[in-house]
Amino acid sequence: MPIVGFVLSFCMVATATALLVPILRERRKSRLLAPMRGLACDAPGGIGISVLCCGVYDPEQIRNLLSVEYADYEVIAVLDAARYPEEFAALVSDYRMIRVEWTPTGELAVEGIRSIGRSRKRRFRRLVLVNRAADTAAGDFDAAAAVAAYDYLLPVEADRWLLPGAIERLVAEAGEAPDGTVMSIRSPFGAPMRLLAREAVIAAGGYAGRPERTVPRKRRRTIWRPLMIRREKPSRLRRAAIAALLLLLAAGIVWAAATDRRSAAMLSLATVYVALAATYVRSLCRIPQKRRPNASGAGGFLM
Amino acid sequence: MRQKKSKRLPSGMVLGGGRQPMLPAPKRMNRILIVSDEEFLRDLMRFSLADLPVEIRCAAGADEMRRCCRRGLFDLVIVLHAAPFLCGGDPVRELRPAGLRRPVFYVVTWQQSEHTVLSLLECGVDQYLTFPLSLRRLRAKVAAEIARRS
Amino acid sequence: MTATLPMLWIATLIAGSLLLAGGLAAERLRQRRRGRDAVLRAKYLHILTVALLSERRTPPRFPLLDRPGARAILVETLVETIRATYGPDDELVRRIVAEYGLDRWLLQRIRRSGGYRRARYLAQLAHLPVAPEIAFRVAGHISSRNRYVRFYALLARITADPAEALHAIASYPTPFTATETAEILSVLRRGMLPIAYVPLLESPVENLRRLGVAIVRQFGIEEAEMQLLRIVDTDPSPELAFEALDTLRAMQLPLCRREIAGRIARLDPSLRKTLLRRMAAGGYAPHVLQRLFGAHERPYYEALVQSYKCTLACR
Repeated sequence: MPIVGFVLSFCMVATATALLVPILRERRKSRLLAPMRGLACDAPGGIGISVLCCGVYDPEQIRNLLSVEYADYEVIAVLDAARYPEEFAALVSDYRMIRVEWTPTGELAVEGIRSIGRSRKRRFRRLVLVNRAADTAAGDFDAAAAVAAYDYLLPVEADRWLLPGAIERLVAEAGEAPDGTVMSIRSPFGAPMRLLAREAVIAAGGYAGRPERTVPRKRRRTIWRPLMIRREKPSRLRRAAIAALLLLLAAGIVWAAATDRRSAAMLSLATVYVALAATYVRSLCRIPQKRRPNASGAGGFLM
Repeated sequence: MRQKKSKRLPSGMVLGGGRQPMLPAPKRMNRILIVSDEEFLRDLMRFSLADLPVEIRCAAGADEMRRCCRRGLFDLVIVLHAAPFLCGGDPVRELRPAGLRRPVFYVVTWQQSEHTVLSLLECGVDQYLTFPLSLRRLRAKVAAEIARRS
Repeated sequence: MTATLPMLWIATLIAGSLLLAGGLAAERLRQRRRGRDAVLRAKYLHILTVALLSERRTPPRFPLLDRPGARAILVETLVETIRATYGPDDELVRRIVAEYGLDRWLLQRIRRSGGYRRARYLAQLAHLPVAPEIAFRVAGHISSRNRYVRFYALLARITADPAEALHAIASYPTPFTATETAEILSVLRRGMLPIAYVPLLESPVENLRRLGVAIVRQFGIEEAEMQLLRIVDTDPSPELAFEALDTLRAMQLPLCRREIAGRIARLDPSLRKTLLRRMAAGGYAPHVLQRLFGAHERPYYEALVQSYKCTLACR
């Protein structure tokens, strides 16, 4: 009987520790890299990032995405002008967009693009507007990828806000290895995001082909801190799932206590350990109110 | 009938025709707004300009900059990053009252690319500087700007 | 034995929980101290700024240095000020570092820490004006397994002893990344390293050539065109050859050269496309691209050039 309790508690503790250690390391690495942000903003390694937006209609979100101070950077917003005419017209007017010629390059099979717009103002040149008939998110991302000019692609959906220093952190991670070695960088916290090399997306035939799964493990990197957040609170389903998990755990401890006191003690202590680890991680990942984009008084936790 | 000339007193006060002293109009202090989301850089700029005859305010970002500029007229706005000018809107034209050349906009940024420089000048920014910055040069520029305004 | 194992495991869990609780308490304390530290940082910055602008010779007095964490705040304030400004009186900063023993304090921290924390202290040491003997004290860390520790140990060594900079860079075991090159360039721009680009471009050491190419790109030195073309044509490192090629492209120099066509023919297909996209975005005309790339790539670059045409017309 104690074996079951031992194995369960060991798994819980091992999982919590396996998450805690890289988060602590990332915290130290971020503190080391933070002063280098200024040096990286002129794209010293030529590492460019194209942000592909699907379903992004909020002008504040577009401003947040464009507020990045990095030379080789662009935002490609895919909208359906027929379905959202007012939002589309507002973007065209605010950013002085003009229609430009575009023919498919053949790298990705893309359909439904009606027009491409670029700004006639130099300072808004980083924004590209794609008018496309809406179908799936993967289709929108493929259309944006076909228009993108840079080597790394970051898909972004509605209600995803970049935190200060996010792009610079991604660039620092991509630049650690020789050109083209790093093909996927993900951040599982906050609003999970994944930066992919353009070649990986093309090799998979587009986002519908799940390019993140085709990247070899040694070319993947993980950044163990949030780089993007959502303003909406977690869904009821997610909260219900967490509550159910905690109830199951409590039931397991009660059952163990009824059969073997040592198993109950191990499970209880493992639960305390995991709870402390979770609280510690939440306090490490907490973003001060003033650093949240368009802070509106919501809670500071991101996980 | 001979008119009495006003008598100028040593302190600059003037005795008017009704023999009431008229105080000289108080000199308006030049107002500078420093905008940055990094507290360290705001403080660095603030301390390096502190002994000039100016009133300094600080703003933490573009939104606060707009609020401050709408509440009162500044002579000089020093923005310590380029983002407010590159992400939408036209801050210079929005915040300058029609017909006025104030506030003057200085932008200090880490970016040095030609594209950024030209974009900022296109926005109407008056002066573009890069980090690392010479504090003495900045002080001299601000002092010259103030002298020009006076 | 079977009775001991659960007890041992329970004891381990208790110890681990206590450790985590301690870490959590320390983190909460640190967050509470942030406000107080911010006030102290502002105070030190004020004192430092006034001292630098008033051209005083003697180091100013920084209060409350015996408070826990105060020395770290002073070091951070000095380093951040040096990063953000140029032209401050090096001699005054040197005297501040010596007067308050900041170099010895940092060396102690470097010895006692590891990993990224050690790299951060080395990075701070690299930005302070310190005595040349410091270079020897940090040289041992250049062989560390952590990339950042290795690099910042090198940077600390070359800023402490600029006369040995080229020798130290030449013997560095790993090729520089672009960000590392940018860090060295930032030190160079501050005038802390006296390096000329011609000997670097002609050096047999890859890292020195890489640094030379970065200097040429940073300062837009068009006179270095022939040296760059030689690197593009004959350099054994494909990454460096591509970097030199991209530098020629970034400086908008003519690209219809035999050396460039030869290198492009040998490039990886993904790098060819990357170069093509950058050339199209940079405004190179289709006839230039036609001479350098194959007929099968023509529809690709024509589509790209068409897409950028309107932005070029509006510049």
